[in-house]
Amino acid sequence: MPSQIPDFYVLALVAALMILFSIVAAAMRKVRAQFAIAVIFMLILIARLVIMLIASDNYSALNLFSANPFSLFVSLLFTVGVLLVNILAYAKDASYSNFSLLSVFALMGMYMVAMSTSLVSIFIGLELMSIPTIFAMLLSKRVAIEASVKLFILASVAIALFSFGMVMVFGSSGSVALSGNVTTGLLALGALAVLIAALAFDSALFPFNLWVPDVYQGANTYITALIGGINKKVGFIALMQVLFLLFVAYKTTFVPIIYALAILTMFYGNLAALAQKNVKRMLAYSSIAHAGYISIGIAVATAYALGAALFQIAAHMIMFIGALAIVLFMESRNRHEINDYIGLHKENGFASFSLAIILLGLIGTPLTIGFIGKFLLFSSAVYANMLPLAIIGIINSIISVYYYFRVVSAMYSEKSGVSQMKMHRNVAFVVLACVLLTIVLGVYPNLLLGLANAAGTYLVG
Amino acid sequence: MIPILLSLAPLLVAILIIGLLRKETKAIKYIALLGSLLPLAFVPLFAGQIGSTEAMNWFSVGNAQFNVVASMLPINFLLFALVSIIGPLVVLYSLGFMNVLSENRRFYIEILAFQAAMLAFSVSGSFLLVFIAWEFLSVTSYLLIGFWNYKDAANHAARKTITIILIGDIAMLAAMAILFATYGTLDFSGIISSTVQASTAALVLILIAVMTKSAQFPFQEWLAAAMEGPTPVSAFLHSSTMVKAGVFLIMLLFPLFIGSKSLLMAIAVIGAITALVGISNALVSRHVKRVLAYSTVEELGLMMFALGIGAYAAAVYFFFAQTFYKALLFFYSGTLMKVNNTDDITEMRNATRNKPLLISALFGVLALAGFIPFNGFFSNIALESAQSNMYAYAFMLLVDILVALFIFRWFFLPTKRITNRGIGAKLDLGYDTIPMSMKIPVFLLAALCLATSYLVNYVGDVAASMKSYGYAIASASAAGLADIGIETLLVAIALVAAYALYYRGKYAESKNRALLLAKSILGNRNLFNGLYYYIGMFGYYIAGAFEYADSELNAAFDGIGHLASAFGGAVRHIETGSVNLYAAATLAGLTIIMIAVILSLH
Repeated sequence: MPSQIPDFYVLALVAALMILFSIVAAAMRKVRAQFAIAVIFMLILIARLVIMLIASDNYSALNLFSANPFSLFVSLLFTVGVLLVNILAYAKDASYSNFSLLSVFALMGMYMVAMSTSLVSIFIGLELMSIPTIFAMLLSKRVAIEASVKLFILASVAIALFSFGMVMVFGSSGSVALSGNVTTGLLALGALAVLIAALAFDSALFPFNLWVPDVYQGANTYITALIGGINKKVGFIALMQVLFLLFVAYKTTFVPIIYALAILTMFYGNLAALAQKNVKRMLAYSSIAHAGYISIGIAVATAYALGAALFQIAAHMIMFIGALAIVLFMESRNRHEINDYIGLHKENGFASFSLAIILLGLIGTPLTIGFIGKFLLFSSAVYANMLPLAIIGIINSIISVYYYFRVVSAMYSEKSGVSQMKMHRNVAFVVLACVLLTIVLGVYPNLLLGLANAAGTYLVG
Repeated sequence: MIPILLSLAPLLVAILIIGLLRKETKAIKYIALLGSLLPLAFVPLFAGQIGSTEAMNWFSVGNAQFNVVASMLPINFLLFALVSIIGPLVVLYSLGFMNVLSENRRFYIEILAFQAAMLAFSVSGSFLLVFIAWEFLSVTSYLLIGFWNYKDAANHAARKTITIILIGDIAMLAAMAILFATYGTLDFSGIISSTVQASTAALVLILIAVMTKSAQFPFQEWLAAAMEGPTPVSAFLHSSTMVKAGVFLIMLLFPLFIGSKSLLMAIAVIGAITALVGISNALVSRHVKRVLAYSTVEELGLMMFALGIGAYAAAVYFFFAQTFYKALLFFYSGTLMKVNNTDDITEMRNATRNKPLLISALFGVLALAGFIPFNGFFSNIALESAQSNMYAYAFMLLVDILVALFIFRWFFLPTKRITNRGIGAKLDLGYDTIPMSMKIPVFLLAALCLATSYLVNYVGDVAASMKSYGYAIASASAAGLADIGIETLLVAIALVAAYALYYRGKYAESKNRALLLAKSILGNRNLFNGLYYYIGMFGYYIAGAFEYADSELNAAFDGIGHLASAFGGAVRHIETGSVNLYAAATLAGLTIIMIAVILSLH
């Protein structure tokens, strides 16, 4: 429908203006203006995406990008996420300027991945996202150098794998478009394996995720929120596109692989999280466990399951950013370990209550967004006759109760000699937004669920 | 929808207290009492709606609909009424019992939320809503059991409770997923009216959930630990809320279990073992509340046992009757603890001082023991006459006599008179100054223990009327005169034995070695706590092993990293070498995926 194409160009124009203004403001060292630009333009982008979603746009532009229920939904999701992380990062003025500019670039990468119609744009999008992230990490804090160099070296392995896979796809079928007509043969199978490995790195699936705890713990907290909350989710989006739009003929081949990766990832994340004493590292392992839950949806591979996976992606993004906002707040008082959280309810009742809600959400307690996500994922597995996958998921949920509850019970234990702690306005805003979303979307999930389900249906038809 | 919204009335009051009454004031108490009374006003309203169900869509995914259903089947109504009656009595008792002003606000907020959760549970007609209410019961009970969080024992008990309960919650979630796949709906009416047999896995998972909530063997220990909460909470928890939720769920889903003889058998066996474990601990425990807690364990075990052998009506009546005397006895035990300033029944004295209270407590004790004409008598008769099997009948008789024995022991020990000590005179004063709000609930419940005997036929009809809602339930068997005689005789024997042993005799303090050995075998709670501890530790060892392997592998690769850095200057600056490990893992993963892909060709 050519008449709708202007919609897309408006979106691109807004995004381009955002980058331009952000560069100018950064050059003029106007941090505050930069923040305002990021917030205002992202709000415009959100409004634009919502309008496009309501108009149910479905077309491709420039032969590279496509606006459809799937791409618009995930773009919307990531814009909200990046906006929240930006607000969080602004609480730390010193390094905000670099971060803001780089996160705007990363957002463009995310859009590119979400809207791509070929492997090339996925590739470029992933790089456009991960390289600014690594730079932001490097520039934000001295001790993060080790973490960022680690991530950089390992990410380059993934880049190499992805480009190798792309070459193999082109070699076998003469095209890199996400069109679902990969020719059969050994070369295509090899490409499938290599691409799964590359994207498993980007979405933090076992055993491609051993770096996650080190990097998450080492990075500045708001950057951890960006990587764990959003970048890794972009990996999932790319994985879904490659599997369901390109290799759909190989469903019987990739389903068992993702099935196995999901189980390993859940167990690895949950068991390792049990032993953690540092809250941030525990959350890193917990995010690995959630990557495992999300991949249940990919392994089940029905429209219902993919909708559930996309819902869980949104759910985890919100809860992870919220949890890290509180970690950021605690870190500013130099408190990192679970034991440091003892007595928090007396020092800042809002922080302890919010973290408790978010952790309950991560467990999957009803009336939180986490319940709907997990319930849909597990029931989708049962629905598709993959009962073992659901049971393993549930066993893992049981394990997870222990380490989440350690934090909750620490926060609500008594400690003598406490004094009130004030939370930075921006951090408080992010925490409040995440907690509200956790509850509101848990009580009334229909809206998000409708979008996620439409997106899932688009992928598998 | 209306029953669910109305059942949340106490919660609304709690929210009002949170929002409007920021300071600790006396007014909070009375507002809370009013809030807890509200549901009682709805009981007549609901009596006219028995049999109705209302569904409202909550969310939908494609074709799958997830509904919130309010159901007013006869047993839903029964539970709603029970919670509405006990709730205000608990709050009334708390007016006198919770006399630390600074604790008031938090206490009444939590107890109102607890009541609302149970009320919502009692009228929910879909798994989704049951699960939500179930979960809120878990959270509020966690808060209430650990209410005195300055006590280590309370914290420990709350943690133990929530840990066990959450296992059940997650089992329930799994069961829901399976049932949804089988039936395409989570509404009870849809599931029960379907002719498809539910999968055994789902039923086993439901059973696990029920066992954790209703403190069935081997999960019973949390209930004994839960008495660390304030006494009004114990009274509420043991009589009408929380623990009853599990048994009630089996009653609601009974048609699903009927299809599987082996599962019913399992329910009966688990119930019987639970009953015996409860009795053995109740016989020897010296903690006034722990005896009652174990007696609840025993009663819940018997309810499960009755359901397992198909005696639906007997189980429903027992479920109904137990509420009143258990609440009463807990209230009485709280008073004893306050007056004597100890929780050890062998150290309590002079309970005869306050005659009205003692006689009321006696009513509860006789009801629990099953003495004619108290309500417990009829439930015992119903249970006994429902037995078709010789062994089961003998088991019931054994249970009856032992239950009577431990509850009379519990009753007699604090009545010992000591007047010649100065301290004795002081204690006596305590009996005279018990506040009215702590006495009225006891008197009311004592009257109810007697009055509800006359509801035995009504409750029987309630159970029987479930048939018209698709519940295939065997008719209750009529009790004969012989049953009544045997029951009365058994209780009388136990009464005499307890009187001789615990009131006249010095049995309780005896140092006889054989007796001590028997006591240590009967009081097996340490065994179970040890078991829990080791299971918990096992989990931590696995986690520890993971942590260890993680760090050891890192250390091993450190060495390799150093080696590598000797060759290539590029990696020299990455001191930990863990990057090599991570990259190696990536390549190993790739290799495995490659092999898997190629294998899929064949």
